[in-house]
Amino acid sequence: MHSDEQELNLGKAMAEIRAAATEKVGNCELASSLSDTEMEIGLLIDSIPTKVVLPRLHQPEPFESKSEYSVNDFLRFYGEEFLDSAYRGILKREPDDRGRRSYLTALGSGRLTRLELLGRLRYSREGRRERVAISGLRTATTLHRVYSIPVLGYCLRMAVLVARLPAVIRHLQHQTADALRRDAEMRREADRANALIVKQLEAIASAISGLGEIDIKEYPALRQAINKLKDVSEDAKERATGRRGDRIESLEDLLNIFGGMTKESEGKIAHERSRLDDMSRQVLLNRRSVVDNQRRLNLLLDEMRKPTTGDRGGERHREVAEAEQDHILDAMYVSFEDQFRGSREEIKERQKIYLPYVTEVVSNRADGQVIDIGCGRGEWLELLQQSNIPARGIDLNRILIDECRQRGLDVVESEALDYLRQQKPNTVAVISGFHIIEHVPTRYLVALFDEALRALAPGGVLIVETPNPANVLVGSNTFYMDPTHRNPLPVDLTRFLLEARGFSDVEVMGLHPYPEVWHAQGSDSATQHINRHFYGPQDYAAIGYKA
Amino acid sequence: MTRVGILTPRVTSGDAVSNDVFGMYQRLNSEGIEAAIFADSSQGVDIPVRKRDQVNEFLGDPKDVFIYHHSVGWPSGIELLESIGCRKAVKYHNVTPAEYFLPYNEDYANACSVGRQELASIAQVPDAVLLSDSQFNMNELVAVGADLGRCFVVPPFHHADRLYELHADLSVLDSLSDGAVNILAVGRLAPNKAHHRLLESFATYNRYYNSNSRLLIVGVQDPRLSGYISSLRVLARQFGVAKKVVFAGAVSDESLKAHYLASTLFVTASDHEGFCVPLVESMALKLPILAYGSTAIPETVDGCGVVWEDYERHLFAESMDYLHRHESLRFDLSMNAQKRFQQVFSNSRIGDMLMDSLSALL
Repeated sequence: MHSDEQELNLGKAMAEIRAAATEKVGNCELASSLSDTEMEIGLLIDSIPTKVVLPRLHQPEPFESKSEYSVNDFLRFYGEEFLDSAYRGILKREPDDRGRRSYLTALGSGRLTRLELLGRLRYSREGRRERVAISGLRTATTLHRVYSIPVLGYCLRMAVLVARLPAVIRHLQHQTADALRRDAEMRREADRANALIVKQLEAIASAISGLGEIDIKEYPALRQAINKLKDVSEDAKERATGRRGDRIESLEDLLNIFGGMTKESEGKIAHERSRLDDMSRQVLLNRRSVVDNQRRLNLLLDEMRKPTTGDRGGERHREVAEAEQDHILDAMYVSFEDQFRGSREEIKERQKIYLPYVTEVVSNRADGQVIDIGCGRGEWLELLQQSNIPARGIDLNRILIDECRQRGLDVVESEALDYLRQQKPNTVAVISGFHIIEHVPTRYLVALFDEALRALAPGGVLIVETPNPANVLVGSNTFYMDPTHRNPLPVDLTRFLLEARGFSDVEVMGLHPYPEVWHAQGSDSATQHINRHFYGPQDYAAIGYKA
Repeated sequence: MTRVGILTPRVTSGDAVSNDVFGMYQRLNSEGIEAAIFADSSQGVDIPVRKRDQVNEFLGDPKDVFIYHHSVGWPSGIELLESIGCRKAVKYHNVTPAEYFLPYNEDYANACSVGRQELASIAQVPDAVLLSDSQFNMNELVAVGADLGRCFVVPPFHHADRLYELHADLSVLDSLSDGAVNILAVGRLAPNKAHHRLLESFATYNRYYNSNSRLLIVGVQDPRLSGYISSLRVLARQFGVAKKVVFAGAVSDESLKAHYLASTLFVTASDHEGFCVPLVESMALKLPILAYGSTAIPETVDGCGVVWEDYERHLFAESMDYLHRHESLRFDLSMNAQKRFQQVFSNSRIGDMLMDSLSALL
């Protein structure tokens, strides 16, 4: 399953882990050590009812669909319930929004009585189609129609009212008695609800006292919660036995108290948050790769879906596929950059060294552009932005371009030489290229220097940075860590090429030597020689001006 | 033609027992054997599930095979196993000892207690082939009198292959990829899994090694075990890591995959496992394993992860830190684990083992 060597590594690692862990025992105390107490508290909290089911008040019998109705089947209900019953019974459907709104308003304002509404629905076109029989409705509707005749209708209405007065008074007495009965019923239900809540609070209090053995001093939050709980419980009792109808919100209070426990325990642990962590990088890279592949796939699918005619269609698909081929390694290169180039902050810190060169040129030529070729993750562009120097980045990697744009940086997707060729002569103040020139063939490099010189304004500056092959470790090893590197460029060659293509005042700076701790100890010349060639500058910058 | 009927109390989507039953059913069908699943209830599954009382009708021939899947106490199942007139096999998935559940749910504890008592009856069923998820399970059967010659180890079928193939939920992946070190625990929230150890060791790690870390606890939260789950939440607060511990509950497969991808290591300090399927998922998805080597865990991991014979919170916290810092060790472990998965635990390999074990019956 696994080789002896790997088994050895795992065994060694586990021995190291155990040794380190043994050393730390006693030094890493937690807020509380594990005991059964916490488990008991968990059980207690679990026993607290989070939902109190209160008894329901008396409700009228629900509306039942039938083949024949009397008007009283509908008049048992009021408001929305009445409207719903009328629609369901007469039109055999739920009220539509518009109908519901307008009828409820009319009923509420008194413009329409319930009887009139029943008549309207029953004798509407839809109601006539359904032909639902409602005894007593026709007479009532006809009477209401007669009431609407001017003068005569009013007189008739008054006459009927006087004639029906004893019946109306009986009805009112019945209604009053019913209202009183309901009021008494509601009071009884409120009492029962209060009693139920008190009982549950008492159960909680008893559960807490059952914790018994716990030294409450160890758990101030719990002690506080218990005290509050007692208060709440007492208060609830008082309210239940005192003023009737008060709403008790004790359970909510209780949940808030236990919520407070969380804050208190967390407040105790204020950690030093100092460790930087980069191990989730792999996930981020996978994410990038997935998104990029999805984008690429979508593009190719879109192309495939387009109607094609004859050979030209096939040709077009080939072109798109070939163009995408160039970007197939974008995600991998981003991973590479993230892994080997250094963190964003490190790179920005290193690049600060170039700011004075740019500031000097830009202050003399405020209108000149600043262009960064192969801007990558955009550290340099960001640094310029923070120094209020507008700059534009050029790159081909679409993932990096997207990331730069998300940071609000001005980046265009273009091939470097093409972009420089499009610039008018003598218009650019600064051209930079960090770790670019070692990626291209010599002929291309010469063309790049030529175009840069043409585009730069007099006094403009070209800054390039590249690995330093004079460092043996770089020249023999780290240079080849980047699979897209082509030629290591010795300092003298770069200087020669710049000067040969017309740059003046060429300056070279060694950069990023290995830390002192790496250096061999000793002051003799051999040691110094070794230190210079093994641990000296890993990169260098070459800076040239257009005269 | 020989028919095979597989009986289990309940079938749902996503739990380990159901995945094992489906895997058996699918492999048998792919071999041209007419197989059917029987259960008292089923929920959210695509495969047809028949009722228990249809078993006798389906398995009418004495040469047919009845497989009883044993994972919990179920007297009706045992009764059928004993009375049925065809060839018999039992798949023993393990039953958690009742004492773990006693403080939290009596019904649960009773079901487990009955399930363990039933082991002796299972071991005594004449001529039955006894399949166990692990050597550990097999030893339990042998201890109650099973004939070693009729015992075979067949790991449980699982959905790790599917997990490997499907796309992760990118929104979950994004939310977890915020720079924090994610430590993942997968498995239902049950007392035998000893989540309190994870909270304790994670709290030590978070406080003394890496405050930018998070413990992800993914798994079904059974309302019948709410006492246990509440205790864990209280513990997390007591240890000051309430905001660093995510009780994710049951999640979709896509989300589960995202959890695996976004994590640095898989951890379990479980006290009792008959196999531990999440370990296999971790192996398939190349997530390094840190575990307390109780019960069947050392056998399942077999050197492809950091497995301690004892549990101690400093040891776990130190292990978390060490594995986080040593990427090459994590890489080695995950590669070995994936190799083990492919060679021993792939569903096709498990299927071969199943067919070999049943060859005497089919």
